Amino acid sequence: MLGQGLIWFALALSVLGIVILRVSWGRTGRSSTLNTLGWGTVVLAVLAAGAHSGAWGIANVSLCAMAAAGVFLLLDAAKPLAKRKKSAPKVRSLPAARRSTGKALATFLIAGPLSLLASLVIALALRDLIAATGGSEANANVTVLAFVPLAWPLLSFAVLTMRSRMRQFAWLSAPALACLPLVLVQGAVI
Amino acid sequence: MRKDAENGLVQRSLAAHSTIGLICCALLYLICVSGTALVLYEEWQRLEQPGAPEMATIAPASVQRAAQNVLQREEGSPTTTHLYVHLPVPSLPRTTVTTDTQAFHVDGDGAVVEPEENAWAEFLLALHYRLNLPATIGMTLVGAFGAMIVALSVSGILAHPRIFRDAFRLRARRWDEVATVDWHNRLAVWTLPFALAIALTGSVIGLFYVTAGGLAYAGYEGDSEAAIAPIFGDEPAENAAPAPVANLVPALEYMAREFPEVRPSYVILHDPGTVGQHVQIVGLHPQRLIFGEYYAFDANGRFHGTAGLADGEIGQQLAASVYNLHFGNFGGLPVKIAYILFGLALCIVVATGTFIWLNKRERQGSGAPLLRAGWWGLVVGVPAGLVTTLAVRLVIGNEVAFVPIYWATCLLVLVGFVSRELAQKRQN
Repeated sequence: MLGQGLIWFALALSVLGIVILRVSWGRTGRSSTLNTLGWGTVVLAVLAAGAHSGAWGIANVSLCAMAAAGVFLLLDAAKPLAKRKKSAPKVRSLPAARRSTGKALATFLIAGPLSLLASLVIALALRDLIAATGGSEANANVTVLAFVPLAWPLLSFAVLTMRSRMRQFAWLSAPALACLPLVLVQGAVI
Repeated sequence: MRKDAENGLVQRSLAAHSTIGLICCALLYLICVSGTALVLYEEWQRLEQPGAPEMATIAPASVQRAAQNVLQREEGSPTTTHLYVHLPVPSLPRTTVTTDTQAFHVDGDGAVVEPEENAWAEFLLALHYRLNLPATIGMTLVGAFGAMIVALSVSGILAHPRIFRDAFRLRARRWDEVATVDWHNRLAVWTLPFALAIALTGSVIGLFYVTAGGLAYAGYEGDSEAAIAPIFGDEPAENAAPAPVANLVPALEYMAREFPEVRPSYVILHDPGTVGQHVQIVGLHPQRLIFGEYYAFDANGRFHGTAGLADGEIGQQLAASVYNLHFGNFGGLPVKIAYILFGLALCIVVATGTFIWLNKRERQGSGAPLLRAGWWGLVVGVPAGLVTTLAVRLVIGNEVAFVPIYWATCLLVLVGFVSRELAQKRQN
């Protein structure tokens, strides 16, 4: 482990990165130089924290950067507003189509349990793939535990953005069916 | 053409964001509020029992005495399968011995002082972990809501192309719908790394029954313990023949001698008083996200190796880091304060999300004042339930049924808000 100075340096860099972004995004015209400098400083902070103490350092630097941004937000919130007529926000309206209860239930089943099942099948296939390519049993098993919580919401969101029921089923069934043979031979590899 | 496609994606993302948000909002809010309160789990325990003996460290011989004193109290009843000694650590400087059926605080000499009484902290834990439902259903449900926070984060970003450009714009002093939208979007974007970390780790914990169950079914003939053994280590074979209780002193002395930088936080005695008994010591590693490393010893204190959570496979280290990253136990009070503030921000994001939807309905001419009142009732009722149960705990004591009191308070506040709306409607 490197000296404690590096983690303090990383924490300071993360705050500096947010300050630069605040300055950059507060200008009338956008400055790609300042933007790059701001994000670059944040990335450097993460790298320095990672070099100091791995995930622990990165977690702390992330919290520090978010706290710095929070302070700027609160300062912005406290600013008096220029007097002007209040207007409702411009919000995009939602599609007007109203679905029947049956269709809503079908959508729920597809985005919920079926997407979860598809994610689990893909995760189990990944596990087999990792084991078959020489990965350890621990890494293969943790892949299943960690992959499902990530894949399920993404699949769920993806199918919710689709209007065609066929397309929704295709998105879920194609990868799941492709992975199923690998899942069925689980245990043969590990 | 490209702009049309982008607009289409934005519209669809917004629709998906609204759909998921509306389905999940009530329980998601409850999970966020209880999770924020749970960051102070150790502090709540100290508040519930301020008189329990506290100490910075405890001698190995006192730990041995404490274990034997508690086991002596259980003579004549079925032998516990596990005995846990919580050792004093900065966040909870107490020594507590827990068996399958009871728990006691002990003093610095290992003498039993009083039973552990932290029913409210345990109630809060159960509320956040499993919504006071049976573990399989409750944890899976909470895990599903964690996954949906990930979906909401992704859809929210895709639905708002200007979300990063306006990242520092918070018109809070307008006190109108624009302010509500600003609070929602700004807090969401700046707490995004926190929200994703909390959601993914929460989901890994909550969906464990589904993922480990699937893993066990597919590769281990349904044996869940065998499925997670490669990650957290397995247990030696049982041998129930009686034997003197294991000696914990040499194991603790070995830790102090061989791993001086590691701080033992738990001593776990498996199958005490049997030939097959064995000892695990959970050691805290400074400046690591892992909850600890398992150090295995036999009944005579001979070291048998570690599970590999600190330096084993990357998957093991990752799995061992999930708990601390989720609960904010990795950096002392500053990190806990940050978790509470960002947790509150997440609660505001969830609450304002539904208000934005209600405002939008109103502008479109289909306002829902009763729904709005109901949502206000929930937003106020969920924390009010926690405050009420905590007050009851402090005034009446440990033996109170917190679950019905909590849910009754939530319901009462909700009904109160809706009734007030109905009364106003009748007056108009």
